[in-house]
Amino acid sequence: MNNRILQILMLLCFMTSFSTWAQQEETFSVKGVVLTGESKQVLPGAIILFGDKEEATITDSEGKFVFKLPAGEVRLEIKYLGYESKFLDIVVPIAEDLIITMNEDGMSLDAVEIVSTGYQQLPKERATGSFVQIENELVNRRISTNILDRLEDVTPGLIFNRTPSDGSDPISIRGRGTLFANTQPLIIIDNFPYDGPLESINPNDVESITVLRDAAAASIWGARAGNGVIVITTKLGRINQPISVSVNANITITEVPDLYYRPRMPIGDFIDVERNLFQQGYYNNQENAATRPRLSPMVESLIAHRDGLLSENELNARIDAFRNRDLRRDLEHYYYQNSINQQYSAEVSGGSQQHRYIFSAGYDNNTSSIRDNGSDRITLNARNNWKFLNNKLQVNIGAYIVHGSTYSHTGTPSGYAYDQLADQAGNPLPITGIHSQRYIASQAGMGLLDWNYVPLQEIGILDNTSKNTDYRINTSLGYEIIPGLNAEIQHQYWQNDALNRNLLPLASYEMRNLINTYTQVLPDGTLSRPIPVGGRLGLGITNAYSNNLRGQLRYSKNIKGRHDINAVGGYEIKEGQTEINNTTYYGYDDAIGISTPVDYTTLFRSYVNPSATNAIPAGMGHRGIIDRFLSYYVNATYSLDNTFQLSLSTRKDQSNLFGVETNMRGVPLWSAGAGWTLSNMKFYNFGFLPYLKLKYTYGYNGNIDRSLSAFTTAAFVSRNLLIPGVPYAQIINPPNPDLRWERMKISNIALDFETKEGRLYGSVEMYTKTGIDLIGDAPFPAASGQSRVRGNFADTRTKGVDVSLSGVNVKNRDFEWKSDFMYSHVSDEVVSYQVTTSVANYLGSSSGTIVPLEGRPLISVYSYEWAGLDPTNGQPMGFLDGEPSTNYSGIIGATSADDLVFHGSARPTHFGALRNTFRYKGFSLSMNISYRLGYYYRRESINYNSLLSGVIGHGDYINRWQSPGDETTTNIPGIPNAINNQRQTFYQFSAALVEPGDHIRFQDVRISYVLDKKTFPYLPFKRAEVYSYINNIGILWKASDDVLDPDFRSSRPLRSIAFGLRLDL
Amino acid sequence: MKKYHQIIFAISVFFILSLMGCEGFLDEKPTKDIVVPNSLDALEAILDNHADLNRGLTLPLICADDYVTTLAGLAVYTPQWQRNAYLWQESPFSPDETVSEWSWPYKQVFYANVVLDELERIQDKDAPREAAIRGAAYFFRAWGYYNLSQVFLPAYSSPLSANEDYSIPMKQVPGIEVPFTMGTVNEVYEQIMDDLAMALELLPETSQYRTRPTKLMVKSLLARIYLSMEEYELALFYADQTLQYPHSLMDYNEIENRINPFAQFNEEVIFHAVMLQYTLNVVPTTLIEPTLYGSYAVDDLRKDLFFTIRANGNINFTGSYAGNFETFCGLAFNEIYLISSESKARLGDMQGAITDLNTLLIKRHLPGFEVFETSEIDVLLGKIIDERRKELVFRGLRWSDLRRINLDERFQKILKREIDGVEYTLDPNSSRYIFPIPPREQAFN
Repeated sequence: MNNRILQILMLLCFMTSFSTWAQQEETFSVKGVVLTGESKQVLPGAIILFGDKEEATITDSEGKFVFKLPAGEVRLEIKYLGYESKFLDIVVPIAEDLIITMNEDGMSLDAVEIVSTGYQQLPKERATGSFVQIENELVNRRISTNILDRLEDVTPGLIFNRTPSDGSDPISIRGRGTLFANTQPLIIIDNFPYDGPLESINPNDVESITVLRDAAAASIWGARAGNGVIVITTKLGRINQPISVSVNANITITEVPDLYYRPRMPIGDFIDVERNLFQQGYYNNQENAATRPRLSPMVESLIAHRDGLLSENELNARIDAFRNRDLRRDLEHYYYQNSINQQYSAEVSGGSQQHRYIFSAGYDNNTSSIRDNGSDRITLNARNNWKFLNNKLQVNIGAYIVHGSTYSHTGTPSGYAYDQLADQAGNPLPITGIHSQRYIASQAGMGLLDWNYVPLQEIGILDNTSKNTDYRINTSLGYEIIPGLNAEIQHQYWQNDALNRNLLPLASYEMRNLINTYTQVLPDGTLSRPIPVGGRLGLGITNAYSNNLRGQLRYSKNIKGRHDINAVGGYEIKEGQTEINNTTYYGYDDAIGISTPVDYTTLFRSYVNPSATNAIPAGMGHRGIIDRFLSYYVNATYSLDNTFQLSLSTRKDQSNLFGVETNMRGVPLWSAGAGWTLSNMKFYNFGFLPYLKLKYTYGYNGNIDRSLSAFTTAAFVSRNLLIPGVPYAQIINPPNPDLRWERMKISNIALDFETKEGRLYGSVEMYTKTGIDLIGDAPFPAASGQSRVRGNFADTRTKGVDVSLSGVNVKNRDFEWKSDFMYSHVSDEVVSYQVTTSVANYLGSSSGTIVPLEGRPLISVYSYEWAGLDPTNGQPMGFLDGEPSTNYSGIIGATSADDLVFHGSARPTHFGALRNTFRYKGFSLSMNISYRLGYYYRRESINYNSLLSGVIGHGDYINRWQSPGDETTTNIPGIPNAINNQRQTFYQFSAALVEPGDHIRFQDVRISYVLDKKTFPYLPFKRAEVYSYINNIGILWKASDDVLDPDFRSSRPLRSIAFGLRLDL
Repeated sequence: MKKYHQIIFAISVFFILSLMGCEGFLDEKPTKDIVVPNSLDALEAILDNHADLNRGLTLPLICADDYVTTLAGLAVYTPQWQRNAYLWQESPFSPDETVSEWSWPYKQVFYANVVLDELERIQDKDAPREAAIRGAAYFFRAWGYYNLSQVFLPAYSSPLSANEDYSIPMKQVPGIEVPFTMGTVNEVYEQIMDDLAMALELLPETSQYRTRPTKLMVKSLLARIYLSMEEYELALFYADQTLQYPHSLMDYNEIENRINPFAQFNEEVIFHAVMLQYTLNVVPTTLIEPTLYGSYAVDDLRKDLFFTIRANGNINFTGSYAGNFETFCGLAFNEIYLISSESKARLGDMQGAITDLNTLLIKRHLPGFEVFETSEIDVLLGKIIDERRKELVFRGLRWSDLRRINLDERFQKILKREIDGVEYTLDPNSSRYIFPIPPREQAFN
């Protein structure tokens, strides 16, 4: 590593000497910067012609230019699409640097969109790739603690996945192309990939976000770009910007969670079911089971009555009381609250000719919906950018520190539906814990710890905290060797230290139960406690760091004002390590800070059930990850007359994740793109459409999978049950020297347009993403040692369309109405997957787990065909040999994967949003309506197996079939006589429970009022914005009759309202 | 033009410098808990994987005459091939299924191949340990191939073994993409013998664990294999070698009669291995075959210790040498005594055979047991075969015995089973004594 840095530095020295050697005649530097008149933003890519128009130069990403001229008078011409060309007469040598301001030629509002790929900044209309640019105003539209939330419903092609098990797949850009490998888009901050927790990024520090969607945009990121790339550009002061201070404060209040959201059967009905089960003797086994399992208060009352401990009257009184209770009321009263999020931030930024800087600090404090739970975060940021040596040497240093913590002091108890947490007077009551009340009562006086579970006494006693400190230090050095050619070295050091501290106090039921369970009764009758009296402290420590070093050359040249060349090429090396260690201490006393060693190897008899033996849970574990990457990349674009553009990009990644063969001989990822600005052609004279551009790109992005290794891998099994103490290992994977990254072949065709005066503009894109060499399973002959091997064996295809349209409907001096419309269509399919699995697995795939079936969407919804209810007994019916039947095992046995009803994708195939923004003088009102169409989900219903096992069931019970004739009005089966696994499986996975997910949602509203010094010159500050944001307003339309929200099945999305103030001093 | 030369020079120097990679930078393994088996510790741990390696096949148990089951019992046999095998069906395996009886021994072969392959690259000074690991790999590979041969190939001494159509895949390297060769009966047995010869040389005499291969285990396995090949001289040689080691037979009089009366790793166990576990191994409808049960004498303690009579009259086997519900199929001294006895009888040493037999039987009967005597070779052999059936019940060995003795007119047996009023038979020279290669595996060729 050190060797390399030395080499690169030596090289820079060489280059410097070459350039000084090149100066032959007496010429003088002409330097300056080009800005836009409106916002004083820098204008990269502006063309400056001089001399007899034989020579030209273009401004770089900071709008700066420098060229050399001999002494004398010179006329400069400065040109840029969308701006009036400017002429400037100067005398060389000039006294001071030029500052040239360009004025828009009235064509459009957002003529200059600079997109960032993380390697370079490009004007959007010079680029061939598919970019979505989220500017600062849109980044700040939504109020949230986290940055990625701000992309929801404002980024065409990007969707937040809401199906239940999507923890691993929260965001998809243009659909999910991979099956089992990494699904996260690559996040780039300050030009480097960010591997830390996304909650660490403070949205107030973000200037803009660029989302890269196709191969030409993203292939420069190579093997990690397959799922799309999100490039986050942080704020920095501007050149010659006087010091400016900005402060932002807001508070968000969210409604209390709705505990009644999921429909549940009435308690009275449930009690009746329990009574029936008791009379049938269903609870006999549990009553006498050695494990002393819990039984509901109703069942215990029936037992007591049967045994003569409770009179008939007393029993009936109890039952009446049960009917009127609801645990949810107590939970609501004692545990749930509005969650409140507060956000504060301040920043100081500015710049001189040679120096730009920003310092910012942010503080977030969130309290959760459950009392005594919450999180907070502090961020500190300092960035400085200097120019030395006549602006040839650029130095950039940025440091970013985040400290966040999450805490939990109270947990919500779980109990029976009619449990009561407190009596009339408000005194805390015990409820049933893990063991039956009879058993607990029988152990009184035995010397054990109190075995009662009193939830209200446990409020606030937990101590579960997570603290996380994240550092990022970025340094870069750039040197201009000759005009147009820059050499740069960039380095990022990242470190993340996290500590999870979970103290389960002695006072908690869980701890007392644990100690009691392991208590041993010695022969002389005394008690010994292998788990000592005290709390349990669990510690999880994570340390991670990475070093990223990049050396690159950038070249930009404009020839005769017509030919524009931009190239960047470089080499990157990355090394990162993560280590996670967990330990647990028992007998922990927080006050004096001691714990007691315990015996983790002996198998102790359980106090409750002496024929069961267990070892004390050790809670120890270790994990380590090492990342090594070497990459080479080149990206070049050529533009002719601003009319034709060509781009080419290629990158080769080598990593310790890949096999030896791949590292040695693997083919690099590449992309090529072409763009044609039709509106610049001589033949083009459609005045109503002054801008029309056609683009086509084709190329390959890659994707990696951390879970697979190219080496033979084995995993240790720590617990040898046959011969204790002798660890053994299982072979997980045979060696695979050909293990390589997944490839996404993406072809994209796009049309960008803009009408006269920018009243309507937008783009339409069509793309095809083919996933090749995807990680998946392939069948092998068993004689090779494994009948199923995971490697690069699968293929998928995704086709789609992204449309984004923006229209300025009304524009007056004081009033403006703008609409932004997004539409995306994503249709995916598994093209090749040789392994098939059981029908049960395919049925279960609707919940979001990937169970690929060739020819079908990646996540599909299947079901058994539904034939209605049997008119005689209300049993659900399916089809067997074409006839309605209640032979469930027959139906299930006869149905193969091809026989299942295929409904469609579990993920929306059409989605988007419509955002309307109204402005009147200083007021602004913005409303966003999102829609999701073309998908299905499986809804919950009554589960009789569960109900007949004594668990309260779904509200559909109310509408069940009860007598002949009901089958014409309901699809909900009647209660069976006994538990029937086959019937339950059939009903649960039948077509009757599959619903369309299509809906239109009124997502949010933002209102703001801006006081501007420009309008009111006497104000003591530059700008003040008072804003309010209301989120999750509600569903406007849904296709299904289901009461619940199609995307939120277990809890309702909570409405929230926020108020804030942003002040620029 | 000079300017451009400089640029090109600078760029090329830059890139040439950067192309020089660091040695070994990319060889670091990406996750800590991935064990790349490149140390003796890891390789030893891989071969200590008793759950995968110390296993034998259950098909021999299903198809022999140790037990019977009922219609209801048969109904819960899953997967379907168990049912088909019980009824001695012609093609018991379904088209797409991966049959564990086929894939499991190949997994054992694969483990051995991985270890042998990795050992090539390890430079470790600890020679004895390295030899023990290498020897263990050979042992397990031979164990895997031998178990495959008893089910999927004809008996060695059968005339069918010369038929080259009977062959199974063989592989000696771990790479999954390397194709395997098809080995005939002779080739498979040759490989087994080669592997065991290597193992015999490398392994230590004994080990503290009954799961780790030793010379003792190799010798007793060789005794078993040679007996099944009808190579009685070699079988006797290795049985003798085995009996040289300090050992003792348990006196069944001293063992308390209860379910699972024998301790795990008891003094008779040489090599601990258990069958692949299915429902049928433990379900109460797996009933001891009535004539077998009836053949135990009144004073035969094995009747009580091996079996349990349930409340409803079912008689189940509960005497596994694994010490629990698992079905023992490894090597034990009682088997060696029987091998020694039979080999001696076959070679003409009737007195020696009778002595060995009685040494065993005394420990299995109540005091006052009348020792066995005869002067007829047929009676003696018949008795030994019978005692093998009674002593080694539920060990999976009966199937190999049947394949061997069915070649002898004196001892041939027609197997019969009845289910739901239908009778199924297996003739002594039926080709159904050899299982076909599962169709899924054939589809790869």
